[in-house]
Formats: sequence, structure tokens, C-alpha cells
Amino acid sequence: MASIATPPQDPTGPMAEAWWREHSLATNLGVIGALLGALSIYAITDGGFGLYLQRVFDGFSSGVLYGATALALVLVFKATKVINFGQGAMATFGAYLAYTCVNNLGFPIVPAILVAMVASAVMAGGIERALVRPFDPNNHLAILLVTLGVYIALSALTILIWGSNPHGFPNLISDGSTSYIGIAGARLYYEDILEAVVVAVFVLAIVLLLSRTRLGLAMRCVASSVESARLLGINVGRSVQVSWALAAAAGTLAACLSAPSTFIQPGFMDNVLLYAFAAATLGGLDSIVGSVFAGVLVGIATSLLTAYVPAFGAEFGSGVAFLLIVIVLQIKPAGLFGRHVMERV
Amino acid sequence: MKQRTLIEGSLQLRATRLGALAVGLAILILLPIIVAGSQINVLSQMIAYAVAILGLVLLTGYTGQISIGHSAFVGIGAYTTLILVANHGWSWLVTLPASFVVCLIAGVVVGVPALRISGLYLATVTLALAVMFPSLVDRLGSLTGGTAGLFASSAMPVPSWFPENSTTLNGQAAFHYYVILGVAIIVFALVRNLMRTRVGRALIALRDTPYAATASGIKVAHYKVAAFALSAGVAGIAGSLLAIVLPNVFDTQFDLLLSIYLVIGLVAGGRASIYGAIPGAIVFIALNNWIPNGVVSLNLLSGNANGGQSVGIISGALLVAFAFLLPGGAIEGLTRLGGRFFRIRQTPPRGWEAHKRHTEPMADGESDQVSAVGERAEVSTQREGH
Repeated sequence: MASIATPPQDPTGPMAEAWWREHSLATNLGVIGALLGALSIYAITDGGFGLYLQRVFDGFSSGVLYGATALALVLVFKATKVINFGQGAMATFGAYLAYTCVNNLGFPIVPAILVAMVASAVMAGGIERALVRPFDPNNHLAILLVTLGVYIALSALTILIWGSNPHGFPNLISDGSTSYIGIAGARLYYEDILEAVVVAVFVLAIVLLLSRTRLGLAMRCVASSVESARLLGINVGRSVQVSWALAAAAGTLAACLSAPSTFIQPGFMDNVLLYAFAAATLGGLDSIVGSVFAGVLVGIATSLLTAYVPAFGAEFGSGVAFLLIVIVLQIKPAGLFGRHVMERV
Repeated sequence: MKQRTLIEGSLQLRATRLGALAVGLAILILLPIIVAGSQINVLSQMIAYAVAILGLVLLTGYTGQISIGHSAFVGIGAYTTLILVANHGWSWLVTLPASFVVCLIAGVVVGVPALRISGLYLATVTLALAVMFPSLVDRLGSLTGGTAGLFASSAMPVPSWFPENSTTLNGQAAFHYYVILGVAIIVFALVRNLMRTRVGRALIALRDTPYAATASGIKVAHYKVAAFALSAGVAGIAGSLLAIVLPNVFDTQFDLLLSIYLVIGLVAGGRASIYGAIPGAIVFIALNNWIPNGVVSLNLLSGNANGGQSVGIISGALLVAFAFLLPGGAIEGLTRLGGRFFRIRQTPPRGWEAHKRHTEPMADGESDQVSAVGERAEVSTQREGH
């Protein structure tokens, strides 16, 4: 925010908090930009501009999906302060539902994805009502165990129903793997652009829902304080349930968009989930736009680091994600966009 | 059965406890003679996994946080042992301390960033570790053998004095069983004793009253990291023991699922007591070995090649059921059951009465009241788990 150039006089007021947040964010983005820039200069001199640009495009297209999955994690975290470890399995299950719609029921791909999103949202709402709501919201360990139980049971159910062989999954654009724009020898696929637009529209819809509707206001109130929300007469359970449903829809969307390039197979979202964790940690666990932005950053960083740093090599992207999580927690636990929470004891 | 009251510290109670311990040990020692030869390795694995779950109990029972990455530490332990034995000619048992130290260091590296902040960060970092570990093994292929795995040319040798009888004592397998049992007993005893030292008391204080503990000068972050590192080290020993049972490892053996099954063992066994690791390991082996084999051999899901997967659904349901119904796990259930038959009456520490009389000279007429309070202080408490 350029309007406040110097720190305000009152060091504790809301203006001061906004000032510090803006400025620390600017510094952080500057540092990350400088690091990525240095890596880019090295990469361009090392392998040429075309190759570099291709890696950035690849990183961007997978990063968008990491961001969408991270969005699912963040939605649940904001509502319940718990990370849903079953998210990957739920998203995989949703993608298989879309696969069944396309393969056995003959749906076109877009309605199939929409049906799968709605179905997984309903399923997540049910899981929240039956398995999560009975617990005290502060009993994080129990809720975490429930999400692990959901993970392991849904993964097994997926294999029982659909088997463990990988299957192909249709692109959004029917000739998506061949039509692209060529820029300096690098290929930017229309499919990837469309994916980014779809994710952007979804994020925009969620942001509008949170900022413009009564339900969104209730959800934000629950996220800030369950007790106050209850005192105000907000139906806490209902708004948490909506968060779970939205998160499941986001996860299924991300899974359906990832499936064409990775094939659909049991556990195929586990790896994406790892990058999504990195993105959610980097973005700050409670920032929706931050998580998507950080997802793109993680995607590009992983693509560049695995391509140009021999210590990682082509197969060791998960190492980049892991290191990223550890480093962010060590240096900046609140992430880039997260609210800094004082830890007592 | 009528409830019996035992007095804490009495000879009777000690004899009961020692007797139970002796019966348990006798069963463990006689097991390889009773069961069929092929099952001995399963029992050895069960004991090794009991040690791994003990590591988790240390962490969750004493810091309230949970690790979904202990498969990686078990894996690091197993790889350390096999690399040292196969490539450097170490003797098997000497690699156990090495595994412990390597995992201890790995635990510090992973634990320091996550444990400074509370909440779910440790779970996140450890989950990332578990997902990453198989590709880390492939990345270090020159050291670990990558996807091809790593084999020791021969299993741990059996000394000549050990009876080699293929019908009752199945030579090698039985010997490995006894070695693993011995190591496990030592590890359990060391952990039990550690919890009665300064470190253990500090951890218990942090768990029960974090504010008071901090005010007394206990450094939260230091002890949490210490507990995590120790827990990782114990898991590393478990990995080495697994390598003794089956002297080969491969990259996907130590994946996220193993971690989650260890957590299921932890929850089912109970995290309040280190002995919860024993029922936990039984549940672990039942889910990973007995039930899948039963489902396949009985052909319950006829025709479905993935019938063994039904165990995943059972496991998930079990985890949720324990979270709902018996959060303390089997050990809490057993303790409650024991409480029906035995009541343990706590007694004040020796010299307490004399101390009280000395420091609080009481006025006349108050003595009756005090003795009533004293009686009330003797209310039976449930037998502590450890």
C-alpha cells in the first residue's frame, strides 16, 4: 500500500498492524523474487531461454493444481484449525467418480467433473457431520486421527472398487495434449491456460462467497473465534460443514485437472498433496489467495530446482517440497500471507 | 469376582506385579516353541513393531503431538543396519547404536522447525517426510540400492551353542526372535527408567501443566525436540530389528501407509503408558498380516484380486472407533477392567505424618478434622499405567 509510506505513530493500532503486514509481505516477496531471479539467470545461461521458459510453463501448470489442493487444505484449516489428512484420498475418490461418469455413463468431461465435485462435496459434508462434529473442536488429536482413518479407508475403498491399475483421463480440451502456443521454442498448452482460468474462477467464487454473502460472513466469524460466533447465534456446525464441502469440491477439481497428465490411479493425489502442504505452509495456513499464489510459486520453484540443481535431480521433486516446508517453518512460521499468532508456552 | 484392595507399596502388590511380569515373560520365551516355524518371523516382527510404537508413545504420550512420519525413521534404521552390515562388514548387533544415533540426528533436524510452533505442524512435516522417504531412497541409489533394494548376503549368524532343531526350535528364526526380544526388553526398560529421571519428570510436567512447568524453568522447545529425537531413535532401533528378521529392504517398504498403521497401533494400544505399545503391536500385526491373509485364504471377497484391501477399511473404521469410544486405547480398557478386580490404595510417602506434625503444629480439637482429611486422601486411585 503506497499510501502509508512511514510507520504510523501509534505502534499498536490497526493501521500499524496493516503497515507491518504490508511491509513484511513486500520484503518477503522481494527476497523470493530475488532468489527466483538469480536462479532464472543461471538457468538461462545454462540451458538457453527456450528450455527455461518451458520449465516455467510446466511449473506454472502444475503449480496451479498444487494451489487448488492447498486451497482445500486451507478452507478446512480456517474453519476447524485442523489439517484434513484425508484430503488426498477424498480428491482421488472424487476423480474416480468423474472417471466413472465419463467411462461408464458416457458423460462429457465438464459435466462429469461438476457431478463429481457435487458428489464429493456431499460426501465431505456427511463426513464432517458424522465423524468430525461430535468432537470438541479443540480436541485436535482426535480429529486428526479421524482424518487419517478417512484417508486409509477411502484409499482402500478406491482400490476395492476401481482396482489398482492406472487409467487414462480425458483432457478438458479434446486435443489438449497437442494444441499449444509456441513462445521462443517453449510450448504453452491451451489446456494449461484453461486449467489456470478454471482454478482462478473457482478461487474468485470462493473469495466472493466469503466476502459478500451472509454465509461467508458466518464462516469468517467462525474462523476468527468459535466462541464469539456461537454467542452471535451463528450455526457453527453448519458453516464448518460448508467449509468441508467447498474444500472437497476444490480437491476434486484439482484431482480431475491433474489426472490427464499423471493418469488416474489410487494414491495419485498423495504426491500432489505433499506439494500442496508446501504451498499451504508457504502461503500461511489461513490465507486463501495466499495458498493459491504459493502453489504457483512452489510449482515453478520445484520445476526449476529439479531441472537445474543436480542435487535434486529429475526424480526428487518431493525433496524440494519437504525442504521448503522445513525452511519456511524455521524462518517464517506464519508463511507469506498468514496471520502471525503469538504462541504462549 | 469380589474387588480386592491392595495397598501401594505392599509386598502383596509387588508380588502380584512381579508375578504378572513373570507370566508375560514366560509366555514370550515359550512362544517360538509353541507356534509353527513360519509364524516365528511374524512374532519377531511384532516385537520390532512394538518398539517402533513405543517410540510413538514416547512422543504422543509425553508431548501430545503426533508423528505421521515414523515409517521414515524405521526405514532409516533398517537401511543403516543393512548398509553397515552388507557394505562395511559390521556385526549385526553393533549397528543398533549406530541406527539410534543416526535417527536421533534425523529427528532433531525434522523436529526443530516443527516443534517450535505448536499445533499440527509436526504432523505436517512428518507426513511430508513419510511421502518423501521412498524417493529419497531412490535418490541416494548408490548408497541404498535404490528401487532394486538392498540385501545382506547372509542373515545374522546363529552361534553354535544354540539348539538347532527344525521341529520345535526353528534354529535361525528362533534365535533371531530371542535376540529381538532381548533388545526390546532392554529398550522398554531403558525408556521406563528414563521417564523416572529428570528428563522424564520434566516431560510429564510439560504435558500436565505446561504453564507451571515453564515457570519452573523447563525449556519447552528443548524438551519437545528431545522427546521427538528420542522417539525417532527408538523407531530407528525398531528398523534395525526388522532388518534382522528379514535381511533385505526396498524403497517402498517404508511408505506413508506404514506410518499410518503405526499410528493405528499407537491409538489402539494406548498412548498413556509405554506398555500400550504391546497391544498396539498385536493390532498392527493383525491388520497387516493375519486379517489380510485370512480374507485371502478364506476367499471372503471372491473374485476380487484386491480383497486384501478390505483391511484398509477395517483399519480406518478401527481408528475412528478408538478415537470415539476408547481414546486411551486398549491399555486404558485393560486398566479399567483391572480396576474392577483390584483397588490400589495410595499411601502417603514415608515420613509424611512426622513431617506434617513437625511443620504444622495444630491447635487442639483440629486433630479429628485432620485425620478425616487424611482418610479422604487415601481414596483409591486407578492403577497408573506405568
